[in-house]
Amino acid sequence: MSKFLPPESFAATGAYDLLPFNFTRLEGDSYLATNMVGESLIVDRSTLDDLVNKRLAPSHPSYTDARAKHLIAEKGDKASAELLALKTRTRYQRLQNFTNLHMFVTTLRCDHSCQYCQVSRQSEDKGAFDMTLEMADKSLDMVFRSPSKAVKIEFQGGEPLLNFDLIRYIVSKAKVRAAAEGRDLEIVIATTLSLATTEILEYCRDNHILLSVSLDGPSDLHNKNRPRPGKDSYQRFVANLQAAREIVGYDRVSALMTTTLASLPRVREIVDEYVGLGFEGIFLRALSPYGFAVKTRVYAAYDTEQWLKFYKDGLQYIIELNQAGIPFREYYTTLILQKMFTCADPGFVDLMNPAGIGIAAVVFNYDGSVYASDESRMLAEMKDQTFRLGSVLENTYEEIFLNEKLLSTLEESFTLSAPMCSECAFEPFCGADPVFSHAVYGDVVGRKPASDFCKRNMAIFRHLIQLMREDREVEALFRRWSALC
Amino acid sequence: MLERVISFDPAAYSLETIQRAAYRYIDKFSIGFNVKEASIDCILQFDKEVDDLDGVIQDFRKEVLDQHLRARIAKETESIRHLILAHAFSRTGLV
Amino acid sequence: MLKLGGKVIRIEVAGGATEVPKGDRTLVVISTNPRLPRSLRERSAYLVRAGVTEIPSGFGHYLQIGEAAKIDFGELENWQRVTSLSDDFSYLEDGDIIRLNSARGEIRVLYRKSSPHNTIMVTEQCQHYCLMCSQPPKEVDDSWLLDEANELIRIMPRGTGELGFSGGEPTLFGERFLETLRLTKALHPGTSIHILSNGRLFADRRFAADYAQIRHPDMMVGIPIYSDDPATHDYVVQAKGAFDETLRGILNLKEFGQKVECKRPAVPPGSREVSVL
Ligand code: SF4
Ligand code: SF4
Repeated sequence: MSKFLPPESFAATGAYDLLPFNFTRLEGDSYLATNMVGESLIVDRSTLDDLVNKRLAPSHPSYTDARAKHLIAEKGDKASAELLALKTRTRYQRLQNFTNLHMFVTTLRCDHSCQYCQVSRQSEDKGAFDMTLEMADKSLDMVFRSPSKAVKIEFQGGEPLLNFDLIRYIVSKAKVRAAAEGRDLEIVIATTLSLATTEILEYCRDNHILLSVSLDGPSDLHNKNRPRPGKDSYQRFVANLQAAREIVGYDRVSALMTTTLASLPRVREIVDEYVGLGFEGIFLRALSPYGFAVKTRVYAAYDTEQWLKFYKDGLQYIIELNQAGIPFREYYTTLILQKMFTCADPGFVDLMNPAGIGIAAVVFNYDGSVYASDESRMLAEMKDQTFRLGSVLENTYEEIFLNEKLLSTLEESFTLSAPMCSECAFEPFCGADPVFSHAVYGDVVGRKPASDFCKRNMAIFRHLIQLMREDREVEALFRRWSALC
Repeated sequence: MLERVISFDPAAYSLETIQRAAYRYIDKFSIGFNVKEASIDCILQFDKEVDDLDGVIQDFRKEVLDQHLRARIAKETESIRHLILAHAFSRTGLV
Repeated sequence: MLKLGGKVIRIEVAGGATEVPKGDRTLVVISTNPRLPRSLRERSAYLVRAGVTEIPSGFGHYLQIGEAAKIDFGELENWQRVTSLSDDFSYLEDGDIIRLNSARGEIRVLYRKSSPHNTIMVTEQCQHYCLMCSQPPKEVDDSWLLDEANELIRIMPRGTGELGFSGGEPTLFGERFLETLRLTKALHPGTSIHILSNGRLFADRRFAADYAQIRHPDMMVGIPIYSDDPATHDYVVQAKGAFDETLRGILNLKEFGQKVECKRPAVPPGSREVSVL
């Protein structure tokens, strides 16, 4: 007699338990079902019905899938729950790294006067709009209270290069402290590059500083969005981008784009501009609804539908570019795909749950006040101080980070408990954005059915899934995007 | 204002299930309930912008079915869900 | 053997201009991709092979192999050019980089995308005058070659695995050569660098230190040593004191933790063989 048993001996028995999962209707009769860690399955309505009512036969093709994706467990599959717990833990690992992005607003002064800008000041008055040494020291003390092993400091403005002396001061102090405490330090400067000099760039090279620069599209569009004396924002950008790449390093410079009403019909040109300047991807961002953007009605100038059209058209073009042999990525899509295909959370503030505020990022403003996120300080510029956590001059670390408002916001907006999100199949890919909800709807949870945040994300999730279902090649491309980080 | 009444069988669907389904339609209609022994009557008052009433109602009925299934999953998996979360967060000290 | 340089058949400028600008040396990246995005076309040369009829618009330059393909000049703008090449160049591919000298009607292939070992010759000058040198050094100011190398590095495709620098003696440019290495590192951080040098300049500790300061993760100097007998080595390279200086250069590089590869090329008949160094 053979020692080996035939395959039937190991076949599924058909006696199973349900594991926690959500489902959402895609189009027609198809449903997306996902478990807590984003493993997913597409089934039709009757299969779903059978699955939930435990009538699904082991011979049904979806049975094996559902078991493999941990939507069900056969009696005796003891590892499933443990595996899910492990993956859930990975998903929320970021929590252990409590605040690792620290933004320093070194000045509000700026040489630009962008129409959508929420904060900048056209002023020579350094006293009024620059961070002082004392504030910088106190802010650094807070930074190094963070338990995170990796510390990231990002300089924001205004135009941070206008207060470069303070940047040098902070960088040198931060480096000494990071080295002494054995922490990894990453430094970023967000700048338009218009004021970059060889000296500044060499400093960035020598101190391993990354540059996050702004490019809105072709020359006329960029200059229209970003007026400055001389009307030469684009020309300066192109020249200084090359200098920055040659001195600081090609891969040390990344670009961010802001979508305005004028951008909407021009997404292909914008993408072309990025390709032409040698970028390997673009972030098609929606303009945030804060600050002057709301005040000046630039935000209201386009709605979610219009933005979605812009995004979908852009993504389509990017897919075509890839098919034409030009590798190029869309970063928002990539972040979502990473959440869809891997259990790691890329840690992008808008797609985080619990919400990124105060956890992922904290802002030290030019006047010493501390905000829970970049958006929170923009809100404050509009006289809404809801997410002001305190001041480095007056408050202790505990007072700031154990702030009642911060903790309750995080808790209330947690998607695993928010109405609708808690039963949404897209939840593992989505995030909570309480500041957005607060700014637009007046409460941190946001009524999802009416929320633009939900509408935008849900439309994107549906779109991406549809693209992949329609075209295997697109799915392969998307998998490649998610694998590259 | 446009008003419609639709009914569900209380033996098959709980009021909570119907309420949950209705939440998703906040931006389309407001809802009132008349719970009777043999039926739960829902009085839907539609917002002006909604033109395809029948389409929305049909969608809503599907949503109620979906909510019914969700309730089943939730009930069956509640304990294991807690187990998983407890396990996952056991060392982070945040939950 | 591929033909890497030679005469072009003809260079024409669109828009009826018969006069080709003089002394015009340009580097162009070749594209065979008819779907290249607009923003990249102006800077690229589209390669039209014999028999091709569909020609995409908007490229700054068109190269046609042989006379077979005919480009309709009527469709082109003033700044666009068409160069006809002989069949010898039909091996050119997407991503290759060539230098066109319109005044002299010359072409030179500088970079082949499919080759794992592209080498840039940055000068023809050298302190040696080796017996068996295949390209005996010339004493002319050819620093334009280094400028051209920089230009090439700026437009070279990302993802190039390895890049070599040779001469003549590339280090003769001193700090300017180091600038080129820094540029390569900044723009192509993943590209390994191989430098073919006689190593003598590295005997200068300052220079060796500045070189090490580039901190390239994968950069190596390849140095030929023809004999362990100084006299023989000096004879082969026809330079007195060369051996001593080269050795001190190597020691300095080693001291600064730099990668060095000593090569022992075959020596001309009559010289003593190299033994273990
Ligand atoms: S460059 Fe930035 S800080 Fe300056 S005005 Fe524009 S958006 Fe505001
Ligand atoms: S915001 Fe919308 S898409 Fe995101 S999890 Fe909540 S319900 Fe789903």
